Amino acid sequence: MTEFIQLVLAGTANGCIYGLLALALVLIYRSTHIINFGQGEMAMFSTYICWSFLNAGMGYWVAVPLTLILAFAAGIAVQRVLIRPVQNAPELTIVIVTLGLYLFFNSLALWIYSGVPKPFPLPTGIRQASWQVGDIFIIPYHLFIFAVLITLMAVLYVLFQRTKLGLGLRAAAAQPASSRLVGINVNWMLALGWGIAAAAGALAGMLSAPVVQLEPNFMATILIFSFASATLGGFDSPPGAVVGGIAIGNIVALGGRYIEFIGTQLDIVLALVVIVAVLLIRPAGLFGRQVVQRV
Amino acid sequence: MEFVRSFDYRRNWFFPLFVVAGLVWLLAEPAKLDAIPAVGDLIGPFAGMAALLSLVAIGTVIAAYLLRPVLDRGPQAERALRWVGYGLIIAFFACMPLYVEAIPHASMLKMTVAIQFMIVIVGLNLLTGFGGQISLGQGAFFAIGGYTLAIGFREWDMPWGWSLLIAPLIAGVLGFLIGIPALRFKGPYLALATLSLAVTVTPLAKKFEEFTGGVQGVAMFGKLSVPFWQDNLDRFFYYMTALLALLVFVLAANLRRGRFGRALIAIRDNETAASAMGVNVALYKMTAFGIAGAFAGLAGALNGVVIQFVSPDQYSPLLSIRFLVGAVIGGVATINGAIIGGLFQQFVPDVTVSINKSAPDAIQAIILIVVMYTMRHGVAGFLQETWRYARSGLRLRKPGAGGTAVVETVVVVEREEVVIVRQDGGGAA
Repeated sequence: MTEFIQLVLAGTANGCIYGLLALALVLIYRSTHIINFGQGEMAMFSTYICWSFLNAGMGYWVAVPLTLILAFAAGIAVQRVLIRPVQNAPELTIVIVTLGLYLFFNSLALWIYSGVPKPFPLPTGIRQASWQVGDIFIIPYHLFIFAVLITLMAVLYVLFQRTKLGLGLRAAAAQPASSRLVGINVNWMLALGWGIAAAAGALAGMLSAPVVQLEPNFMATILIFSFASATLGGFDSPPGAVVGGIAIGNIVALGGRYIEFIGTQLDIVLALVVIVAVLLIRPAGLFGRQVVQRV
Repeated sequence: MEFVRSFDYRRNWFFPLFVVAGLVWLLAEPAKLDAIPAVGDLIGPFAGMAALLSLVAIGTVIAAYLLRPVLDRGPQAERALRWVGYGLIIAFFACMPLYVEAIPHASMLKMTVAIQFMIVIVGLNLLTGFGGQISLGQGAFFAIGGYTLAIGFREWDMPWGWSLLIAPLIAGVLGFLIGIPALRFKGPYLALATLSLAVTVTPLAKKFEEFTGGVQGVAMFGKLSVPFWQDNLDRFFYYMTALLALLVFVLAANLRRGRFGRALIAIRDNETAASAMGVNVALYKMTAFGIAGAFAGLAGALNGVVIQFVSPDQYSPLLSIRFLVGAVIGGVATINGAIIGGLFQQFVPDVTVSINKSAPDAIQAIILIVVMYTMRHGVAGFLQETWRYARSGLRLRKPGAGGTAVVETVVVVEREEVVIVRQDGGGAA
């Protein structure tokens, strides 16, 4: 039982990170119906930027917000420069462009920072040693990740539901043509969506970097788990993405331990089983809206 | 110079740009470019490729001009010319040993691998280009081919020739079956689901160590015997691969031309309409997956034979992405584009790796995005378009030359359409 609880705690912490990246995927999918295959690599590159800041002697609490702002700006830039020209192109074209983003950021990181893993520090003020409650060890950093996720969800909730900007963002995603008629600058709303997504992704990268080592491919596995999370939660539901993320984190942690065949090597297979199962049984995911297509 | 005037610059604005870039590259001394660190290194390959492309395009226009008397005789002459073109391509690959040394970066082995890529890509073109089904999982079928060979060799001492028959069968059946869940997915979801196939291969191969030899893989160096040219294995494997590729290309071209191809295109363009016309959507989609899988399996087995080594790390997800990139750059809705795609995937990484270990992927990514903006139908599609422009422009220049009045009116109507479209575009903007 102790082991089970321990696994759930670790799984939930990892799941929060999957949920964060899934949130980024969902924010983009909801407004533009694009699945951004480059999301993970953009997050990975942001994490490297943060590492450079830290390496230059900047404090953690300065470097991270600075990176988030940069990631936000970069997300907007990518949408304006690279995605907008192909916005109305066939799906294949868009998938290819985002794959191009994946290849580009992955190789750029390898080029600039080499493949040697870099250590990434825990946030200053978070203690390394764990607390013991009965037989269970609680790692403070896991609580920190959870707290960050909750805070971000709250901020996004307020932004989307309680501000005029959020109303514009939601309107642009739901009804682009009508929004344009009432004077919403839909193109900018889409770009802002990309910016927010890039920042959320960067946060996921910087949170997971201390746990797994920072190297150019570290987000690839996380991206697959996030795809599974977003699929499970529903590709158009931000809360679904987070719930899906936590569920996937636990499925992976528990499955890896209790299903002998899976072990630690095949945990990615679990994610794929979830993806395929969800798409077959309930393609819209747990929280997604079923789309009925008119012909 | 009618061609210059009739050229649609708004759609092909990049073409003059490529010509200029190519000229700059040809005229500027490479040494001067190299003086700028990194930038010079990067400009080289891009400008070189732009130069190559613009040279080929200019060659296409000149060919259309020179061949005018023949082409104006009618569609039959045009068809005959196309066969001459195919003959030239086949001759180029058939006589490879004569000049392979003279081509920089090329060797018989590399050419063999390039042709194997072409086999995968031609299957992907049928599936993705004509069938509209995005697949990021062709690497998985490629791996199945490789492991059919490796496991057969390890467990039962199977002669490698058998694997060339069995691998496409296994991969084809698996592809067909994977087509079933794929029926439920569309667009980016399908890309996602097939990507998961590509991601699974490496861990699975590492897991089933007792069959696959785990991380160490299966080495077959010097243990594969060939019936002749024992002293020149590279040549034997090259011709074997090339002959099989020829077979695959003929098969693919026939499939594309016949009932199967038309049904696929109908499904791609409008699934509901196709199904209303009596096309069995599910069966055709699954068959397309099966055929693409079989081609990839064949190529995988061939690759294992030629490399004589099979290990899990050869089949990373990046391999699947590279196949799709090659298909897209060559021209995904064409058969001939696979030739360009295969050569691109073999030689562009090979040339650019000297800049930096990770340069090939970065450069490919940039080329990929540029190609998507400028030539949505890939290089082959761009050349076809250039040919058509050249033909219509040149035909206008010489009214009545062999052609009939009917041809004239068609051309005039085409021209008027172009003008009208432009007026509309201007009006709306």
